[in-house]
Amino acid sequence: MSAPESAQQREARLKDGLAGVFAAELGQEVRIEEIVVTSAGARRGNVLFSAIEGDGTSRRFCVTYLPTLNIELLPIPQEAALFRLAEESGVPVPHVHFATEAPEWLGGPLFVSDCVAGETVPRKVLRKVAAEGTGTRIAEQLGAAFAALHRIDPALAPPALARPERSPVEDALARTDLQLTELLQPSPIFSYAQRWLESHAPTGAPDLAIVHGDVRNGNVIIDEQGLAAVLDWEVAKVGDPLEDLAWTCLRCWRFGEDDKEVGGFGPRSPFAAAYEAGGGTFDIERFHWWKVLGTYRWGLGLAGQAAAHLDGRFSNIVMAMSGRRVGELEYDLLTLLKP
Amino acid sequence: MQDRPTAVELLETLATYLEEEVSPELNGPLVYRTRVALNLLSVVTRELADAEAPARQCARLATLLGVPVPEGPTAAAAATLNATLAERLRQPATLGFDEAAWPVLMAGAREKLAVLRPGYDSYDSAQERPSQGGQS
Repeated sequence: MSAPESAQQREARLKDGLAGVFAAELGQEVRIEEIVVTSAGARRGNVLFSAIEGDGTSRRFCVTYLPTLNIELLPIPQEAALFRLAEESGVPVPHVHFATEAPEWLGGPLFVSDCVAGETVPRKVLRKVAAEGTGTRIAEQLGAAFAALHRIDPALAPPALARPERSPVEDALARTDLQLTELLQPSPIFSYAQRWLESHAPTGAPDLAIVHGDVRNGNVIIDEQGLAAVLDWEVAKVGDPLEDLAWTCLRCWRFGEDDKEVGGFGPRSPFAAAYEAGGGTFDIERFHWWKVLGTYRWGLGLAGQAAAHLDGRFSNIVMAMSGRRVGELEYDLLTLLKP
Repeated sequence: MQDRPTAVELLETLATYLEEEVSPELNGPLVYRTRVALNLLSVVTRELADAEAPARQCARLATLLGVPVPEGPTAAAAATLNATLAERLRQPATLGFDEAAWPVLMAGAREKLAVLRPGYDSYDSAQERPSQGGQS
């Protein structure tokens, strides 16, 4: 490994790479300015920038890229293909301009999309929504966006998207059962939840669909009209559409707006109605089962973060604190599962 | 016997220092992480203030499991009973046990929240269950 590059070096490298890829892909000579790094994880980076043409025309874009050629969960070109598929079906997503696997620009594959204006930081989003009175509308827009996503024929899904091994329900239960045995400290409430989920597992195969897997405040862009774009598609898979709807409605994504079941934005009824108006089937029992599963899964996830902190795989104060948030999910599970 | 300030007083002093002297100087990701640090300090402070918690846990869990309450009701004894209950609840339900277990689990959950996040249990998701006729 060479010495880590400075922020200035990184910015210069991004500017050169982006100018190069615009010339190669679009035949445009542009100058790159106003770089904002929104996330720079080990797995992928997201950078907003302005591309300025010779006549001074400036337009804002977003590049999503892998900094290396390492193996990725959902390859970047397939993620770009998924964005296009979702856009064609009517899901609000940033429009993709081009994708390339050529590593010479930013070190790995990348795609460039529109930079969608709006707010993404959860608490700022909820303040904005309260001030503009858009909460119920956003609940409807989310229902409609899910309907648009779930009506895509899953046979069209990019090949790298995970598909169920047995069924979405059986796969989810096998995974949580394994995580349950790996807990550093046994949780009677999680044991109870695992058994409840097993004994109440929905019967009958769901109509499989492409599911986003993580639609929640923090992964959406909100503007004054409401839902402007759904982001962060890297855990998308083929699965049970009700899993997608339920995840959005977990209490842990409401950021204190507990009585607004749909992501802290608004009530469930307009969300469900918009989903059905868009061709989806809102099966309330299945929805509830997936909500219990999601609450349990997130509780296990937080316990796993604490374990990663304690054994040194990924130590920091936020991961440490995650261990002391498990109790919130345990309480929510009990309220959902009172006999 | 240590001198004053006590452990709790030291933690409170540390919290005040972070909040009043450090936080105003910060920006970027450190703002969020320092808020997490302050939250962590308040959790530890509340936990230290409740020395009777293991005794209450031991009494509740032993009664539910039908075993004698441990003589020295320590945190380790409570953890052992907790593991026994977790194992039992993973097994197929026996008649009436879930109904007896649920209030004990809820008492434990509320006790944890009183340390972790006071007030979190003022909302009850039961109203979202399908049998409740859904949300208005």
